[in-house]
Amino acid sequence: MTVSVKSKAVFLSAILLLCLCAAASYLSFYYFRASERWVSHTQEVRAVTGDVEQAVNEASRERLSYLIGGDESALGRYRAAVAEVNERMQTLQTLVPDNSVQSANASQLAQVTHDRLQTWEEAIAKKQRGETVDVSQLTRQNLELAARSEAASAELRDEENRLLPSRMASAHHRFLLTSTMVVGSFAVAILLMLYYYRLLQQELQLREAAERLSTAAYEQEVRLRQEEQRFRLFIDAVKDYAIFTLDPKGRVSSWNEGAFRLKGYTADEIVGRHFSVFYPQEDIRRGKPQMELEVAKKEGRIEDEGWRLRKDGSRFWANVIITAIRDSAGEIIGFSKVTRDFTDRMRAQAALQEANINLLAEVKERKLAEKKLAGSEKSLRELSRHLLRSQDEERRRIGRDLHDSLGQSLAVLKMNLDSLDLQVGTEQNGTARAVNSCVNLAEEALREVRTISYLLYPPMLEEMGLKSAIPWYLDGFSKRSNIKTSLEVDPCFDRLPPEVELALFRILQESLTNIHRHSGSATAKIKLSLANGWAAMEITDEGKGIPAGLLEQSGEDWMGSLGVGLRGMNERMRQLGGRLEVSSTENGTVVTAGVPAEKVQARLNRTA
Amino acid sequence: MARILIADDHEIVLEGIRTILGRAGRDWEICGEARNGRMAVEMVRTLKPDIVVLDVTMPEMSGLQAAKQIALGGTACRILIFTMHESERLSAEVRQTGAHGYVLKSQAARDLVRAIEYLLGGHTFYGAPPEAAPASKTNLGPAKFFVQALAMG
Repeated sequence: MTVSVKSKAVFLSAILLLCLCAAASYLSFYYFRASERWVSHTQEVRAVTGDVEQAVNEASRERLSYLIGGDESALGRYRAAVAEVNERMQTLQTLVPDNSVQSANASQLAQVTHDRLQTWEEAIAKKQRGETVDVSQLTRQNLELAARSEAASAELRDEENRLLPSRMASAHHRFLLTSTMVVGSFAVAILLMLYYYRLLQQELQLREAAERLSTAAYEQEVRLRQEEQRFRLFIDAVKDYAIFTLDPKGRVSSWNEGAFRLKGYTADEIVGRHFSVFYPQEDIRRGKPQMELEVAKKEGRIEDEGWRLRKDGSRFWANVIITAIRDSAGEIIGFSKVTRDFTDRMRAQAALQEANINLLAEVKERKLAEKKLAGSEKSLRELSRHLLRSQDEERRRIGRDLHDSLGQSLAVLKMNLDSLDLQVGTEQNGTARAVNSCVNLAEEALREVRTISYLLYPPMLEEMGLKSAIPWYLDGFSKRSNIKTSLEVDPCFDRLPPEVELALFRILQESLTNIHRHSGSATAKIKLSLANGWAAMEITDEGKGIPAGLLEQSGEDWMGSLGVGLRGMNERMRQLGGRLEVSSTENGTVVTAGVPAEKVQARLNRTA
Repeated sequence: MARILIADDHEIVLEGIRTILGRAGRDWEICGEARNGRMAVEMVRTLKPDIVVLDVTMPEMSGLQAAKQIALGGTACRILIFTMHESERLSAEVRQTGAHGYVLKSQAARDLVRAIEYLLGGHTFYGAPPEAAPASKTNLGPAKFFVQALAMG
């Protein structure tokens, strides 16, 4: 059952119930009135009975007065009273037909009354005939009938009184029943009405919702239309891009402002024509337009760059994107085509490319130059390394030579002179003095040679290592310079590769020479340490320090004898993968030379 | 008669030593001449001289290294370093090697014969005669020399 049918049924039911309710209330009212009627009916029956009695008594009296006095007027009154009796009697008869008992009682009364009236009529008739009438007999006769009449009347009245409560109860009962029906049907009708109201409400809500939906759908459609409109306006407003569509066969189906500006055709001129008119002849011959459509169909889109024609036949370099448009079923319904004028960009790109090529050439040239520079720097470094090496080698050779050949010869010369001296020693003559002076000279020469050779090449360095060679050297240095030296050596500091030892020794020599020549320091402290795999030598003086500026310059630019020395020291360390650090204040200078002791051996093995 | 091994890479020095020793007039014999440290060590082992005179600066193996090896070799041979190097350090260096003394080449005429005599006598000679050579040091047997050499080396 649909809602509307249901609501209709409910509504009709409610109406019916209300009708029923009205009927019931009418009935209820009717029964309420019925009980009242029964009361008045009883009163009426009793009253009519009374009237009958009264009329009978009236008639009896008038009869008597006629019988006794012979008064004709009394007879008239008697007739009127009899008529009254009959009339009342009839009225009574009409009142009681609904009840058999009362009907019987009424008939009884009527019978008795009729009997009495008959006797009365007979007496009157006798009188009229002039016969004598025995009044007392009549009265006796009458008394009996009167008693019966009274009994019948009483019976009527009593019966009526008896009937009244039951009749009223019956009426009341019906009244209650119909009242209940009224209330019940009314209540049900109200409930049905409420239900109907609810149904109506529901339906109303449903309708409202439906209305809202339809409104929303309408608004959505309006929006879509607006958007479409905007999009169309936007497409039309685009001036720098030609945006147009093609039908599946490649004929132009829409055209925007940009397309007009770019290609020169108005929409009226071009719509419906095949898009191959935009392509140069050679492209058309090669079937390029159709091929592009095929690719767009297959791949979804195609991007292309190339020459295209304007309406006036001039060419421009175009960037073209063709996109296939499909409907929801996947069928091709056309193509969109976006074309841009890339002529300027193409030219700029070409220029850029050219510039790029030039730049690349330049870069190549520079790289070559850099490589050359690096090569020459490398060869310079190699040269300096070679120079240092050959200098070391030379010094070593000269030192050795001096020490070995000249030194040994001088030593033996002195030995021989000493022997000679011993032989001539006691004689005080020219020969002895000459020999003695020769001995001194030889000794001096020997010392000189030794000193020079020691400076050129440290004695004992190769044999005994830094730990021994440095003290030997310091002894000589202290003697020559009057600078007090001290040496502190880590217990774990041991032999290092010969190159490292020589380099450190040369740095020590250079530093001590600098201290002697430039610093004015009275002391020089040397410390040899080995920590974290680094062998380090620290030379500390208490001089005036290296002039500011000399240190600040980069190592490559150090000038003067001090600078050259520092540079040489630096280069020696660099060759060994070590570091040279010089820090100087006005209270002294600290030169630290460090070499990664473990790595050096491997490095030397590799370069050897 | 004492047998002496001399080691120096310079012929002229060897010549000088021979001259000095020859002129000394002692009952000494030069039993061999080595031209480098290695040779000296070898000859000490084969010739078993009473004393070896070692130059310091020699090719292949220096005199100091040779002295070390000889001292550790367990011979009774006395070791005298004969050197050009003149330094206060020399004494310590020589003692460390286990040699028994040294003589500077410049003082050879004066000291060499004396030093050899001291060493052969069981004493030491570090650039000068021992200040007060203890009596017990005299006439030490070869074993004692070895122990002493070990202690010093």
